[in-house]
Amino acid sequence: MAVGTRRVALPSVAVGWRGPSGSTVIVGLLSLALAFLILSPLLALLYGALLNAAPGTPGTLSFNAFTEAWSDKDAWTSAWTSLWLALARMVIVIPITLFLAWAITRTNMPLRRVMEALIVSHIFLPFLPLVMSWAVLASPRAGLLNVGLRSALGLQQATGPLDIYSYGGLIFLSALGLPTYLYLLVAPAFRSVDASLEESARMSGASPLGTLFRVTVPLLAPAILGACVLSFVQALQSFEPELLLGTPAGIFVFSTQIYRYIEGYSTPRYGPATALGAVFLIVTFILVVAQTRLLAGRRYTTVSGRGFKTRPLDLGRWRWAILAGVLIYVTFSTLVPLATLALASFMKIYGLFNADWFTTNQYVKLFSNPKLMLALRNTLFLAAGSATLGIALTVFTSYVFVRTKIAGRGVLDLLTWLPVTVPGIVLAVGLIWAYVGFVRLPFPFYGTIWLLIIAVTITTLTTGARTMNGTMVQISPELEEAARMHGGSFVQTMRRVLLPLLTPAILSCWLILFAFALKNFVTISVLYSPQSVVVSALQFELWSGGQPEVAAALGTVNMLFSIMLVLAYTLLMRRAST
Amino acid sequence: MRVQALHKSFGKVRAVDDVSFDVRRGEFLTLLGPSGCGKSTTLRLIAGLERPDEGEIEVDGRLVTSPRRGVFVPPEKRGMGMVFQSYAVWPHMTVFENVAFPLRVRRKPQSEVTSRVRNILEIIGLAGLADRPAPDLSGGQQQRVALGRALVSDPTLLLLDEPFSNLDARLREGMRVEMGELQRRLGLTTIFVTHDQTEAMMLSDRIFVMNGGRVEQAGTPREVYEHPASRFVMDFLGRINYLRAHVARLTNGRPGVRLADGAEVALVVPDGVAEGSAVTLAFRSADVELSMSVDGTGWAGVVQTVAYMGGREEYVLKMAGSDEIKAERATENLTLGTPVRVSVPPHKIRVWAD
Repeated sequence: MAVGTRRVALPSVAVGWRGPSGSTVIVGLLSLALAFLILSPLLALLYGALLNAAPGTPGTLSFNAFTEAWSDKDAWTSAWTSLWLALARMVIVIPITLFLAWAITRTNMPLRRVMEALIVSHIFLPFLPLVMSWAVLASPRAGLLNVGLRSALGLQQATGPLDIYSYGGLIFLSALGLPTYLYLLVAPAFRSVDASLEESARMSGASPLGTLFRVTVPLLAPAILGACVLSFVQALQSFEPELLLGTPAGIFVFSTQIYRYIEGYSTPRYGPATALGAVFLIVTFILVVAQTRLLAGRRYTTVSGRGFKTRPLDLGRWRWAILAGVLIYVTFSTLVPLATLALASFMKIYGLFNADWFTTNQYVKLFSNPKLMLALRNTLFLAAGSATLGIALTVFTSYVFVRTKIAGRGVLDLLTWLPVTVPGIVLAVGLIWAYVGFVRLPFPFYGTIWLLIIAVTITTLTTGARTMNGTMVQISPELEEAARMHGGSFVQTMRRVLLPLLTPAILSCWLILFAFALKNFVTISVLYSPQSVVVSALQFELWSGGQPEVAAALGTVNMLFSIMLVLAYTLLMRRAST
Repeated sequence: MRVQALHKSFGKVRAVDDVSFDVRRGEFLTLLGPSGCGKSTTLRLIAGLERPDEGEIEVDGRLVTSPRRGVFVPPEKRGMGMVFQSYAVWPHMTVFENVAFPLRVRRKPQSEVTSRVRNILEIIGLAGLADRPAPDLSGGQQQRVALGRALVSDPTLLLLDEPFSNLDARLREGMRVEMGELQRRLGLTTIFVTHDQTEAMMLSDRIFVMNGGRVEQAGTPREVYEHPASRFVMDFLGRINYLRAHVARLTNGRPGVRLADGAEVALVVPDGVAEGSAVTLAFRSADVELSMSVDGTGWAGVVQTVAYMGGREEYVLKMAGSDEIKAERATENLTLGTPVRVSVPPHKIRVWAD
């Protein structure tokens, strides 16, 4: 099989240097544009951290920002909280992820495919409505779960036993959300373990448990280690739950602390915000680099072509117990919060449930909100625009990286890795520095929807590039070579062979990027203006502006739309697999 | 070893359908058949990697599988060795660690592990590569590791699941010879699964030809090749020519068949086939004899294509009645369009009723 490893010669590129040809120039220009897009906010942030002035005002080089942050107790507390909270989350999240991946990919648990679809669909769901829903479910006084638990356990106290506005609450929310994301990373590794590697251990005299610890776990070690680091980084970057649930409880992590520096003072304190952002940018960058280094020498290609098979482990009677475990997880991560939010949006007072208080008034209020139509329009434009731009850029980078021999293609691929290391709030501060401070454009840009499109596109590049690389590697270069041999030009080959083959992957990836844009709040939070308001921002305004019921109504609408995206994605995947 | 009335279905597919056989100590037994014939499933049932729906398996007088009596010994307790099609060499271990694994899980003392693994690596010719990480090995070396691992704990039974199919042609030939020698030298009872009839012929004491989950024929390579019990077996074991004919009483009064051009062949016709009914004559290309004398005995044909195969030639001959047959000969330098006479020794021809 000649899949993936061979590279196509772009016209005139592989034949040696004959002066810059058209394609070289195009590739060069696009690469520069991409590098500018990704690097400008990061470099602007690092440089801005060394200026003793706000973005856009003249300043001189100094360490003022760092000394200001250094002497601020809040900055220290938030940094410390971020680190230990991320560690605690990692410890909780990894076993859950491994359990889900193992149960679905390696056993004969019933309803595996349904469970997988439900888990994967979670990444489509927006953050804010989920968090708002848990505020109803587990608020200390009136939370539904608390009321239920108090009466079930016969407790006399007026609050508790659960409190979502706490460290425990934040960790709990991560445990429900992060594994669904990590699942996507771990499941392919679980699937790629050739069953005969395990069977040969059994034939060699190892018990099922011995096989698990001597063969299966060591084989999966790289993937598990990768998931650990990634879960830590993801937990470190978490923002929405901390903002909605942590802030009222006086819990600040570095991301919400940066938000507070910018939005919580009469004049934004860009100095310490930038300094804190720069520090965490470097921390996450080092972590991700360390992870790739750590795993570089330890990637086992266990798929061995012929004779490859994965036989599910027969769980016997335990299959129902395992299914129950997965089902409980799926119920609490998706179904319960969805239902609660929808129900709460029909109540007079948010968080209190009573049949007499049923009202559709919240929806009337929502649809008479003057900002709603603008927000909906902006959101659709933002999501479609950033998904399309993200796909276009990553199809380009993947083609250059996977298929050509152009020097420096590795750098291009590295650029697409960079956004995953940048916390959303840090990217936002970097964009402020770049487009308010340094880059002067002849047209209004800062505060427009276009800035948001650029911001969100950057965040989608890593996911897009991974999907496109993966798909491109699976398409044999011989298919393109055959087209060239039979008279197709480069452009014709792209248009008639490669793009049609990529279409299913492009469509499904577009839907994912669209959903990412729809649920994004962290990057948008400090960048949007009244004219570029989007649905997630409006939800937060309503929530923090004393109208949580209307926020719930908007959240419900948002959820319904996301569910439609999930259905479209599922249909697409099903058609692609048949 | 004894296999008794084994049945296994996957959904509606009957993968193994009433298979029974005995294997003698030291015997090399081959399960031969096309893909999907149930040979690999039979092997996996013996290994204990699959549970049968019905039937019993007994090794050295010990019952290891019997759904009826509720007996199922897990694979690790059966003391067998197995070489997988993909080799299944563990990529996170060195050559030494791979081969040592069966001894390690049986908690053998370190000194015994070292000496046994050294010994095995010597036998399989990998003594110099003990500390090499498994992913750095070539296909042939990986296969040796898989074999060494299967042999290291003195298995009662060696199971080979298409072990040569991932090797290139040259390497495959060498490994075949080596494995055959090794098996005889160590006196290993071996069950071998393959779809390659040449491999089966070379290595086996007995061949079981399988089709559709059933054993079509069992016997020594010579028996199976020279006396195929069915059209399927004959077809599978070599290149076959078919000629249409009718059962007839020959001009000399003896029973036989008549071809489309009127040529007569004295043959023993299967019982119960009436005179005048259509039959097919089947024979191997290698058994076809050609002569250039146009008036000689034999069936008339014309050379249609010639393929030079290096040292021998393969001819496609057009026969009367539009049948085509293939003949393999040492070079006779026939050119296209040459009329020839074809004859096949009657005892090499098998007659199947249509």
